Amino acid sequence: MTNNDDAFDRPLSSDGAAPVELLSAYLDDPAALTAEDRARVEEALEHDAATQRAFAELELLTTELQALPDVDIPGSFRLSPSDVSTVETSPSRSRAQSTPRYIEPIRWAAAAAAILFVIVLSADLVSNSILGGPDQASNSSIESVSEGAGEDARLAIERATEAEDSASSADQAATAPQMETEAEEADQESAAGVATEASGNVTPEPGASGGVVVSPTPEAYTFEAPVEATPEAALVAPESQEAISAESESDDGQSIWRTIEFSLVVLLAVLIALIIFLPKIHRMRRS
Amino acid sequence: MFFVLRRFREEREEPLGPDTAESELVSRAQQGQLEAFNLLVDRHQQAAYRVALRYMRDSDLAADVTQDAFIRAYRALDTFRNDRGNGFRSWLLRITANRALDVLRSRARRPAASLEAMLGQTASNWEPEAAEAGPTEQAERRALREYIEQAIGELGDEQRLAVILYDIEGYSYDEIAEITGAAVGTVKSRLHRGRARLREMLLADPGARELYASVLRLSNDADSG
Repeated sequence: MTNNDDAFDRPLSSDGAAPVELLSAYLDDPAALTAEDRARVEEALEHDAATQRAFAELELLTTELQALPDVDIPGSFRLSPSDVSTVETSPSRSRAQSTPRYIEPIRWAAAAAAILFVIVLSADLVSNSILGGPDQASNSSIESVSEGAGEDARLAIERATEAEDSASSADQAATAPQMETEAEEADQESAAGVATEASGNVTPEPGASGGVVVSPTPEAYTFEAPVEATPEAALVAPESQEAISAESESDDGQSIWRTIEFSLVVLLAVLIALIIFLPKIHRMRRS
Repeated sequence: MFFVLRRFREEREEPLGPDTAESELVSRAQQGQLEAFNLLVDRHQQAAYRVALRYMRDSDLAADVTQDAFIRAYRALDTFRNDRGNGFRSWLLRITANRALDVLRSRARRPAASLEAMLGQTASNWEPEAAEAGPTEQAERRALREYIEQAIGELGDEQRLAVILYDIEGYSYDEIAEITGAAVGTVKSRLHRGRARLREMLLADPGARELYASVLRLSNDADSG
């Protein structure tokens, strides 16, 4: 024995007796002591009566300890199936003892989530690729939207131009009589005003009303065709609105599918992580 | 499919018996075969109960602790590494000793009252003395052992376990280190301190000191004679 023990480092007592712990170690195996300790003990055993007596007492003590009566067991400690069934949830599972009981429902939940995920994924794929489901519909609608949108935009611009022209014409039609009336009134006023100066000599100029008509007010121009004249207006054309609503419906369908699938994947990952790590945590806590 | 394969494998396995290797029993017990575990119980129940009884010095408590230790061992079988010769016994005794210590601590007292009951139960198991020992020496040795048993109960938990396992049950330092989870040097230190403390306690009691001296004198006489 290598004696790092404090008791063995104690010096011999004043009467030369060795520490009892050192004697005990020497009693078990003298060769296990260091040469120095062995020499100390042997020196004390040879010359010191107290050490000799202590050594004899220790020897007797170990002899009596070894001779202590054996004991009979009160009965068999074999485990019965009922003992086992009280400690494990499933007797058929050899490792069930070490896993927490709440793992079992988690396993079932994970299996259910996996099956559900497969079903959802299959349904999604079938509806998209075989039956031309939301994906295909949305793609075609997107294409039709983009094609239709260009066409609609062109038509809308033409329509806006026509509307602009018609607005101009309408303005002209609407403002001409008014202008003529105003011109007449102005003529009358001027005629009245200048009647004293040149009564009957002043005649209204035919071009006066025309000058007013060819320069319609900006308000009339912008008021008549602000919506249909812009290219954005094409996107809100009736055909475009249908396409957009179809697209948004297909987008909604897609997002629902994706949400369900993503949720199932997340749920499955969480359950698998629980199945893997909970027993380990359980064992760590038990150990 | 799994169950079919498992049944097929079980049918091909060797039948269990008292001669089955311990590692095989452990392996089959880990697979859930209760009979294999019960054969391990048969092999080690004596050792487990003895350690529990020496440690607790109460036969009822020792029986409870031993049974509990086997149930705990069965529950924790998958944590046991079946790769050492005496590993299972050491592991089982470790569970037993820990359980005994837990119970003693929970009771917050040292069981000394039932020593007589324990000795009364086991009186028939006292080994006969050597043929040459007279009735007086036999009686004195028996009385001295009672004092020793009492003194063991007064030792600290770690020293008591070391003395029980090494001097009484005869385990090696390495095995005790495995059972207690301590280093071999620590085990030796506990053992030697425990023995020194036992001797001190015996010499401190007048009756025990007288018996100690008398038996020692008789032994010396027998050796010299």
